[in-house]
Amino acid sequence: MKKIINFTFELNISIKIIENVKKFIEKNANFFVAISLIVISIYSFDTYFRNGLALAYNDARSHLDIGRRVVEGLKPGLAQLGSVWLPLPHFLMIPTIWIDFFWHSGLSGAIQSMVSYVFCGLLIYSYLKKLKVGVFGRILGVSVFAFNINVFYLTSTAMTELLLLATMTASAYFLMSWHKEGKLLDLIKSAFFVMLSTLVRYDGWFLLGVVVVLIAFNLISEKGYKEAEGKVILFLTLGFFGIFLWFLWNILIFGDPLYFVFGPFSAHAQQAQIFEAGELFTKGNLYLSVKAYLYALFYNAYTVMALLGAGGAYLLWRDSKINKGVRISSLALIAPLGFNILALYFGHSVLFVRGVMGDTWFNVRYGMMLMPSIAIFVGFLVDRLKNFRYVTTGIFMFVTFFAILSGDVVTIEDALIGASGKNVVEVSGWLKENVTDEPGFVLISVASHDAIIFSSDLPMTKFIHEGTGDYWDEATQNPQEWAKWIVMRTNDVNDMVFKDIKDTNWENYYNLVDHYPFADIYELKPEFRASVQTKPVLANNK
Amino acid sequence: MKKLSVVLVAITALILLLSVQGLPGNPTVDELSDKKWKNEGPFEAQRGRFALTYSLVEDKSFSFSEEIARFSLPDLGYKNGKYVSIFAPGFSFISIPGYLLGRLFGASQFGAYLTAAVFAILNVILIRLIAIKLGAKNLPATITALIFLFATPAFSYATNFYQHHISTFLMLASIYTLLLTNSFKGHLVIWFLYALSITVDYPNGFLMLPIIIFSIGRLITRKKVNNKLKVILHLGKTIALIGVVPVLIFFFLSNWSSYNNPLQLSGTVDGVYEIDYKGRPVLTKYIVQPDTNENKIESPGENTFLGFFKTRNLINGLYVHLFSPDRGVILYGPIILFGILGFKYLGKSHSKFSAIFASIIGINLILYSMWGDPWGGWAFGSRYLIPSYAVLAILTSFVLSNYRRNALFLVIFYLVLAYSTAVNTLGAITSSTNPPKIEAQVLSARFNKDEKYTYQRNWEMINQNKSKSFFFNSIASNYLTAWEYFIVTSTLVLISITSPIVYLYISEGERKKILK
Repeated sequence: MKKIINFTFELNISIKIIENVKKFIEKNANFFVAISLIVISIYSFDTYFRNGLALAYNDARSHLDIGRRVVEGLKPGLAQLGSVWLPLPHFLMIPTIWIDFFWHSGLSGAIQSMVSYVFCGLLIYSYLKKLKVGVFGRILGVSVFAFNINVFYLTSTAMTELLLLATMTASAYFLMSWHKEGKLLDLIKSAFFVMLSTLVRYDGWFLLGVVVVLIAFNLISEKGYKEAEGKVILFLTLGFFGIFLWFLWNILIFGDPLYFVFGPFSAHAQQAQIFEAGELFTKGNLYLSVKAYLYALFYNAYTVMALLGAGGAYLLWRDSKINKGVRISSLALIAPLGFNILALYFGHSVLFVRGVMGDTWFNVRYGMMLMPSIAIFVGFLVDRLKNFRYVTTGIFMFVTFFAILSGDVVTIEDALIGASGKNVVEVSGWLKENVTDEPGFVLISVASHDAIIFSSDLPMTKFIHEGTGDYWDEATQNPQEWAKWIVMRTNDVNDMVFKDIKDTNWENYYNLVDHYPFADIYELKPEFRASVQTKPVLANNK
Repeated sequence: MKKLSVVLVAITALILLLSVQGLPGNPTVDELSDKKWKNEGPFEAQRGRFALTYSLVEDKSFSFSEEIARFSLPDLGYKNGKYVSIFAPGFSFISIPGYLLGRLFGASQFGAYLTAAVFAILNVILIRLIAIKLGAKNLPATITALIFLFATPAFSYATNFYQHHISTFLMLASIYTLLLTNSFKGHLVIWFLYALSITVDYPNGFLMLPIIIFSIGRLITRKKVNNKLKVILHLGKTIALIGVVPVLIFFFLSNWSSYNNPLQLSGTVDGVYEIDYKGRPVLTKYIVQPDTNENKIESPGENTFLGFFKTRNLINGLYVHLFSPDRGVILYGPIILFGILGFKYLGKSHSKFSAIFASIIGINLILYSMWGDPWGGWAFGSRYLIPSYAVLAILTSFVLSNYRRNALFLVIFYLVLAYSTAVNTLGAITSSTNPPKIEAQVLSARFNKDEKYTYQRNWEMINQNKSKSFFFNSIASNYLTAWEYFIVTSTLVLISITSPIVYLYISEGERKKILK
């Protein structure tokens, strides 16, 4: 028995081999990380595509439709990129969106999320490497980001979050790199990526401001005003270019540089309605703004990771061995925290956290905006607290295990419950069944019902909407001559179709064929069908 | 040192004897549900485990008679047409000797309740031994062992019928075994204790994971010899895994006897909401709960053990355990938070054990923060964190060792200690069934009465001359009011801890001067 108990198996490995393996891993880690993330992102899309959740957000369908309208519709062209949402995500869809499968599977939008996911993971890895964090900390940091199921889910969708995260993290990374190594090219790269982020979401605009302040602060204190002035101007020349283009776009298309701010479909207009309904709880209330965002953040990051990240940030900022400029530049990583709280406080954004604020979810996915930052901070924490390296890793695995087990994906709930997940299946199902093989146009507002258009599987050329120029103008003046069907929320002036046709005598020409919570469907009475236009006859459509 | 240990055990035992809840007598099955025993007596909460002990001893049965089932409600399950326990069976079995001994002396309930007290004393001893083994000084180790028991909610749960002290004992015993030996026997004991801990409370399987992982890690040793790394796998020691076999056999037999299925976990059987007048069960799954309150206390939904833990609960759970007025450690045992500073010292000398301790605290806190009911039902303080209090007590001994000559620190420490001791003595001799805040608010609104949910509720009891202490109810109430009894007990507790602190402060030289 003693012999059995004392039985051992010995392995002698040359230290040289171990060193070589270590070097090999170190040298090729980027490649392995990239491959792993590519596989995970493909798996993510496959998973949610198969279970039908990849397009759970109505916004995802709207994004895809915007991209599609650039290449197909009664008035295709770049002008279809719109005015509310920033254009880069839709612009990036153009190479693939014309293929029906890419449009209807959501892949056209998901591809950029997937690529951004991989890019973001690599940036986290590189950021930590630049901070001289060991391979273990770097891998853990990437894992914190990559295995977060909320990130995992949004990787599979045509939403803009991942693209924003990638561009913002890239900007923060090159900013830190510039502070560390002083290469001007890094500053320009940072400006380039912040410029891209300003074309994805307005969060990027705030980041631009933060980054400029950080650059100016650091340079003024280190090298004086003149140097600061020059570098800031250089940075802004490229960094601000995207915003400049957006203003220009709004002037050219809508005749007003601030159309995206005050236009009828702007967030400002939406928030004004919510405010009137007494549901913009956070406006003017800093406590509620902080509370709402922290809940969203904690729900997205599974609380413990956010707390560990806070610990890592604290260690990073008080680490005197790290260059002061690098530490200051890392503040860019928490820009989304400031942006979201301020946006809530000033009423530019709305966020409902079920059980905390309202009885529904809305925009809770905004809490995911700090995930790359949390991942970087946790990676740093693990590296610095060497004694607790395995403890932190164990806790990460423990929490992730239970998050997966309990199906804790607040971003999916955000998509399915509440305003983001309006069930449009009935309306789109009706259109699919009754319109597909019939000649004629559907008059509908994309601002209100884009998800219906997407889910109907009908070609974009079938719809007359706000972006179809003369067709829209004609159809809203004399609907009976252009639209065989009308889809709208009757008596709701926020629905552009109803708003524009309410003063016509449209009721005389149409029968209400179905009524649903989110829209009503009207069909032209049989006696008027002979004279209705069914072909795209307008030339030089403006 | 031996004398000190004997004194330590004697003091601990005396205070616990004064505090353990109970009434004299051997209650019959008909008496169990009497107001005297149930609502106003020692069975006010968590009757399920005692019900199983009672059923095993008196009825020789794993399933409950209708009377015992009614007594056990709401902690009652139903399987194959029988009323059964919904708790892991370990604690009920372990308390059988206490029950029998008590019955012999005409106090069966008190005897059973002493089981937790006995394990609490063992925990005090183990905390002291572990701290000393890790390098703490004797006196600080002794003080902090007492602090664990008397200045945290662990005190309340040493005086009634909860499993927490046994779970803590099994965890501490495993840590001590790790410290003592890396032999085959050591591994055997650790696996045995691990398996046993799961039969006492299923979540212990997670709580003791760091110990098990560390133990497995010791099966691999590495040495640098010349230019080679020698990795030795002690494969023979893996046979120690057989330590789980006897426990598994017991566990499977117990499950088979209770549920006709050796793999059925007790928490996963159908819960019973109530028993109708014909003795038929109304199952919880058929009860439609109003889903109106956004802050409602969630009842575990899915009938799988792991399904009870949800990461979505983490924010609320962490708040409840750490900061809430109804359970937060900051209110119910702030003294134990000094232990966090102990990582600084232990990390330097025993980094691996420091990591094990951090893991245990982390898992303990996170696990029960994910639990649907982090309040632990009606309770006193955060009962789920008792294993963490024990670990923090060990760590506190290093803080005390290092600051023993710092008068300012000792004054602050003492003030926090006095507060913690008073609060927990109050809980121990009155009741460990305070409602969560949210329930108290509902009750207040319903009955138009201010229902307290912090230790103010215990204070009210004392002022109403109510105590659940067996000693008070059988003897002391003839001479003292409950309030006076509280003063006597808490003073005794405080003196027990204060004396060594004063002794600790006085340096060797000064001690000699005083002795001269």
